Order: sequence, then C-alpha cells, then structure tokens
Amino acid sequence: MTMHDSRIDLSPLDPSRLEPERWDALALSIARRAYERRQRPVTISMQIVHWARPVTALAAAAALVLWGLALIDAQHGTPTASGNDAALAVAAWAESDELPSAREMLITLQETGNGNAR
Amino acid sequence: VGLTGDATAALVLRAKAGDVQAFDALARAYLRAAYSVALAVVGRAADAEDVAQDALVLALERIDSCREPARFGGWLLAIVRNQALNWLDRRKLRDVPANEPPPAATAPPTRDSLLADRLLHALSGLSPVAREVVLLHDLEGFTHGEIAETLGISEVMCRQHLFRARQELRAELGEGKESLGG
Repeated sequence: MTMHDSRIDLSPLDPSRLEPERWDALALSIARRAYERRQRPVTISMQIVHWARPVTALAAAAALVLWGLALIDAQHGTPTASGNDAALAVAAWAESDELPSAREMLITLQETGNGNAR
Repeated sequence: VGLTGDATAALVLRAKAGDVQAFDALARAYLRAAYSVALAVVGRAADAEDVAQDALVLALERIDSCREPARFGGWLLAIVRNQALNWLDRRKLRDVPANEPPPAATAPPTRDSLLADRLLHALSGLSPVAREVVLLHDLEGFTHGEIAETLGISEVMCRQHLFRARQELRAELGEGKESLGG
C-alpha cells in the first residue's frame, strides 16, 4: 500500500465531532420539521401549485387544437362552428380536471374537422 | 451512516407509515452524509449545513416518493446534490465568488478551525466529483460501492478519484503533517 492509499484525516471538518450536542439537536429539529410538514393539511395555494402543471398542459393542448382548427378553416375557407365545438370539448376537459389523452384530442380534432367539411 | 440496507429500508417504511421515531433515526443517520455532499458542492461549512438541513427536510417530507427504501441514501444524496447546485446558482446570481473566504469570525481561531480552513482550501482545488468521493469515503466512511452508486460511476472510477484526490490533498497540505492522519 502506498502513502496515497491511506485515508486522510478530515475529522476537523466533521461538525458532529466538534459539536455533538448541537448536531444531534439539529438532526432532531430536521426530523420534526419534516414530520410536521408532512402532517400539514393541503392549503389552497399548495393545491394551485399542484394543479399548475396539468392546467398548463391542458392550456397548451387546447391551444394546439384551436390552432389546428384555425389552420383547417383557413385552408378550406369555410367558417363553421368547429371553434365552438373545440371550445366545448376543452371546457369539458377543464371541468373534469383531467388531461385529455392524445387519442381524445385527435378524435376531437377529427370530429370538428368533419364539422368543417359538412 | 452505520445502517445496513435492510435497516434503512425498515426505517423508511416506518417513516412512510408516519412513525416519528423513524424520522429521527433517518435524520440522525444521514445528516452527516448529506452535509459531506453539500460541502463538496458549496465549499463552505456554514452554507453546507444550511443546504444539508433544507435538503433533508425536503427529502423526509417527500419520503413517499422514495420508491426503493433500501436505496434511501442514494436517493437522499441526489436531492442534496441538486439542492446544493441550486444554492450555488443562487449564490452566483448574488455575485459572491464561491471560494470567497467566510466573514471573519468574532471568536479567536482554534486548532480545529485552522485545520478545517486548510482542509477546505485544499479541497477547493479538487474537482466536485473528487471532493465528494474523498469526503464520503474518508469523512463519512462510505464504501466504494456506496459512493459509486450514489454518484452513478463505476467502483474503479471511484477508486481512481479517491487516489488522485488524496494525492492532490497531500501535495497541497504538505506531506507528513499530523493533520493528515492516515
């Protein structure tokens, strides 16, 4: 074994050795803080943060659907009620608090597209 | 840490079930490892303590998302590392150099504090990975297998980092000094 294989004494950096009582109290305070936070009831603001991501995804999906419809309308030059249909579908998704699957979005897009063709 | 994988897993399951004693035991067992990882990233003892505390509170609060209880250590240290890196980014935004010496202490320096300063200065010359390896191995007593798992590197690479880190630290601190131990 060479000299570089032996461990270096880093104990001067060890706060649990320098101040064992403070360190133990710190560990306990961490445990209690975490435990209390875990027991805390969910607040409205926490719920909003929790919903922020799915709502953003829903908004992006809705924008995508509407953009697709607008593109189809522009190509066919036939203004229809497709925008309203899509808006109704998006409103229904938002009301149910669930993200639409890709399949649901495609079906909506197709149905509203068919509405255009009629 | 001093806990086997099974003992850790049992504590994690008890904590998930809401056992406050299990929270205490996990915090006591892993605080120093969390501190070592935080110190390897942020480089200052006081800052590392703040980061380790916040990260451990966060991890224990979200213990339900620890999917492999026996690997709690690796999961926790990844959270600590991320928290420490975020903290470092915020410090950069405040435009404080990472290697700036801490504010002058009001109490006179002790032998331990002088040694700690020298060690921290020497550690600052290492790469972040090498710092983490040497702190987890030589301060916390982790095995190469445990360090390799938490860092996502091979054991061979871990040994190489440790060898070079010790070499560089000894060169920086000076051979044969009593503080180097061995």
